[in-house]
Amino acid sequence: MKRLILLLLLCHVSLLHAEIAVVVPADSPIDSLSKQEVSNLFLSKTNRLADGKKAILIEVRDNRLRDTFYRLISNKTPTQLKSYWTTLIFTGKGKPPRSFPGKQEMIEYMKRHATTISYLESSEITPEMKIVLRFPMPD
Amino acid sequence: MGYKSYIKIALYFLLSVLISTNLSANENRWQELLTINGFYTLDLTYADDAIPIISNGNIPRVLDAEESTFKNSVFGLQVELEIFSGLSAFLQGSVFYDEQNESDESLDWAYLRYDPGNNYDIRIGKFLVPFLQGTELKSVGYSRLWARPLVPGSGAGGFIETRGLELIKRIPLEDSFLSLQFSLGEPEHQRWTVDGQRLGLVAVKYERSDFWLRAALLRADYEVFTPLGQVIDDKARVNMFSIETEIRFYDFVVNAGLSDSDADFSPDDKLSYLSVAYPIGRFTPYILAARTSRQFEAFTPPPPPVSAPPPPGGRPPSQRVGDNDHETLAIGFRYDLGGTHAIKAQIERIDIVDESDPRRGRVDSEANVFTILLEGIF
Repeated sequence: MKRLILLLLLCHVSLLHAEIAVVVPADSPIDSLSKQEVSNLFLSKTNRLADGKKAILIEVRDNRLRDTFYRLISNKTPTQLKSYWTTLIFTGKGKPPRSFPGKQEMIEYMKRHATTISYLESSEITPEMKIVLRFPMPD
Repeated sequence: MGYKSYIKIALYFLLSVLISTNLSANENRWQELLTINGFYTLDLTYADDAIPIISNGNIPRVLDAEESTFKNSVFGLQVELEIFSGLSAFLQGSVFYDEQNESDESLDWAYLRYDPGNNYDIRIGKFLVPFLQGTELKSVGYSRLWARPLVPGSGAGGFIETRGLELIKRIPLEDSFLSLQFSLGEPEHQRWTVDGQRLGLVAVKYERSDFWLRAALLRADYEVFTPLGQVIDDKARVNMFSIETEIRFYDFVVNAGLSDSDADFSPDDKLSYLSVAYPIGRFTPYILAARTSRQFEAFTPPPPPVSAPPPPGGRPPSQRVGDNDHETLAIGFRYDLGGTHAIKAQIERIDIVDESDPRRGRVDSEANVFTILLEGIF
C-alpha cells in the first residue's frame, strides 16, 4: 500500500513538473535562448542564430505537443497558425519546421546537423540533447 | 513570351537540375532539398441574377442568372528546390477556368532566391505584385477567412505580375516583428493595350501576437496604345497606396483594408473592406463589407498615322465619364476540418453601379450569390 501511495505521489510530482523543453544538440555552442528568440525562429521570422549561423528547425509530428508549444510561443490557435503558415508558404517568405514521424528519426537528424533546434516534453530528453529553454506545460 | 513558354522553361530547368544531380542517389537528401506544396479550392457558386464576381483566378467572371457553377475552382502547386545552401529555385502555378470556361494555367511565381544571411532574402525572377496581401494570395483560398477573394482580377491597377528583383528584410524586435519588401521590375498589365515599363514597390509589415499592419506604396510607368497599336501616351504613370490590418480584440478578429490609386490613364482603382469574425473553436462566423470603385475617364484619341509619336504637350485631354462601383455585403462561416482543409459557406449581396460608358448610360446590377466550397493545402 505504501508503495502504491509513493508511486501515485511520484506520478503527481512528475505531472506537476511536466514541461516542454527547447533542445539543441548536446555539442551545440548555444546554452540558452529567450522565449522571443524561440518564437522568432519557430515562426520563420528569422532563420539565423545569434552567431549568424543558419538554424534548422525540426519537430516531431505530435499534434498535441505542437499545438501546446505554438500556443506558448505565439498565442496562436492551431487554426490561426495554419493560416499563418499558408500565407508564408505560398508567398515564399517562410516555411514551417521540418517534421519527423517519430522522436528517433528526429534525434538521428539532430546528430547529423549541429545547428538544429527542436522541442520535446522534458521527460523525453536524451543525452544527445541539451535544454536551452523550458516552458511549464499549461493545464 | 506567354505563360506556357514560362511553364515549359521552368519545367525543363527543374527537370535538368533533377537529372544532373541524380534523383535516386539518396532519397533522404532529396527530402531535404525538395519541398512540394499545393492548394485547391472546390467551389460551387450560384447567382440568382446575372452579375460579375471576383473569381479565384486572375480573370473577371460573369455569372448568368440562376447559374450554378464550379468554374471558380482552382488547383495550384508549388515546388521549391534547394540548389545549394542559401540558393533555391521556387515555382508556383495554378490551373483554373478562363473566361471561355476552358481550363487554363498560369505560372504565378518563378524565381531564384538567395539568402545572404542577416535576415535578408534576394529574389530574382517573376512574382505576383505584392501590393495587397490578397494580390499575392488571390488563388490560395485557404489563406483567407472569406469564401471569395477581396481583390479584383485587375489586382494592383491591372498590374498583376512583375519580372525583376525583390529584396526582403526581416527585423525581429523585442516583442514584435517588422518586415520590409522592395520590388523593382518590369510589370505585365492585364490589358494588352498597356505596356508596363517599370514598377517599384515598397511594403512594410509590422506584427505583434494579436495584431498586424501592412502598408505598401507602388509606382509604375507604362505606355498606352489604341487597339490599332497607336501610341496614346508613352509616359503614363500610376501611383498606388494600400494599408491593411488585422486586430484580435477580445474574442473578435477584425480585418480592414484600404487602397487608392492615381493613374494618368484610367481607371483609378479604389478598394476598401471591413470584416468582423468571431472564432468558436474550428467554427468561425463572419460578416464582410467590401467595395471596389473604378473611376473612368474618356480620352480624345490622337490622329493617325499609326506610327505617329505622342502628341506634343503630353497625353491627350481627358474627361471623367463615370465610375464602376461594386459593393458586397456578405455573411458566412469557415469550418476548419483538421489541420489543412476547410469548408466555407457565404451568402453575399452584390450591387453594381456602372456609369463607365457614357453611350450606354447608367447600368445597375444586383444579385444574391451563394457559395459553398471545400479548400485546403497539402
